[in-house]
Amino acid sequence: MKTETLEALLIDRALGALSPEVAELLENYLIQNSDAAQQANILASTVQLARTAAAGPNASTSPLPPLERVRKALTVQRRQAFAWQLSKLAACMLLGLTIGLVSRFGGNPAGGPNASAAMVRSLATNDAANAVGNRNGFWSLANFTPGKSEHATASVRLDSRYRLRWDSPVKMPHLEGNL
Amino acid sequence: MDDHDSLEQLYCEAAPALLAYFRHQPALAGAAEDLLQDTFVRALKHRYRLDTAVSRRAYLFGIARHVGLDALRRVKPDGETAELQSIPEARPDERLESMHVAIAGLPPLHRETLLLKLQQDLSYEEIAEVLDIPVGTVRSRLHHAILRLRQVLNPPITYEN
Repeated sequence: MKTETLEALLIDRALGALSPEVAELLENYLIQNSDAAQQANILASTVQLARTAAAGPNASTSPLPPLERVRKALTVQRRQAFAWQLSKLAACMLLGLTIGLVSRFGGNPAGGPNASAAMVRSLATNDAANAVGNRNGFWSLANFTPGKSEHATASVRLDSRYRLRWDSPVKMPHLEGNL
Repeated sequence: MDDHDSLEQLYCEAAPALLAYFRHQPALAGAAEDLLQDTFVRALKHRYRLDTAVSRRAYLFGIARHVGLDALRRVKPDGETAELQSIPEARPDERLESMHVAIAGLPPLHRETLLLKLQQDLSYEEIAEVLDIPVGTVRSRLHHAILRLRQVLNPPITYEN
């Protein structure tokens, strides 16, 4: 056995860190090797002396402080944590309320005329989308406006004299009336 | 088991060793009870980690170590933090006195590791968890420390195999 290996094993033995199997093998080795046994004794006594020197003056037998102190500190800590959670919740609710109010009344508390204007804008956008669809080869209402180019805009209107006839979704619709 | 019983049991199991750990350190001995309380409060703040720790004892010692280091930093902002572990006052016995001096002369990290083993009887794995280092490093530090102590107290011996 190498000196370093033996030394490491002997230190582990002195510190009580060997598994039972290894310890048994090592004991058998030490019985047969007196020099190693002597070294083992020196290391064991060194560790024992160090253990004695390191031991405190009855530190482990002194009375424990009451657990109430820990409980009290924990209670305070929990209250603080709860207050913090509560403040976060309140902040979230306040933020939600603010966003809700702004989106509901944002800039014009009356709301009514604003909604109508939005609807008109939406319709115009739809017409423009139809025109774009037409350019791409898809059918759209704008395609059937007499006298207008395929680049129809939001100002496109169907005349009330004409009637749109669309028999089947797979066929192109056509206008009836005096064209 | 409810929270109250669990806390009570944990305190009974771990508090004596933790209190001794603080009292073994002259710089912290005076505030040992407060530091013990801080350790438990800090540990219970992250209850899940404590409950799922491989070794609750090692986990608590790890927290105690940090609590001690924080306390030392408050006392000595520029002080050497590795001086956390110290040995009790010298004894009249000559050999014991020599050992005391030899332990005090060890490199701080080796001394801390050795005292965790000798004073708290933690396993290598537990010490590794407390110090947040690999088990191999713990073993290496302990071996160096013991060999150094042997060298100081005993003349070198050569093997014949």
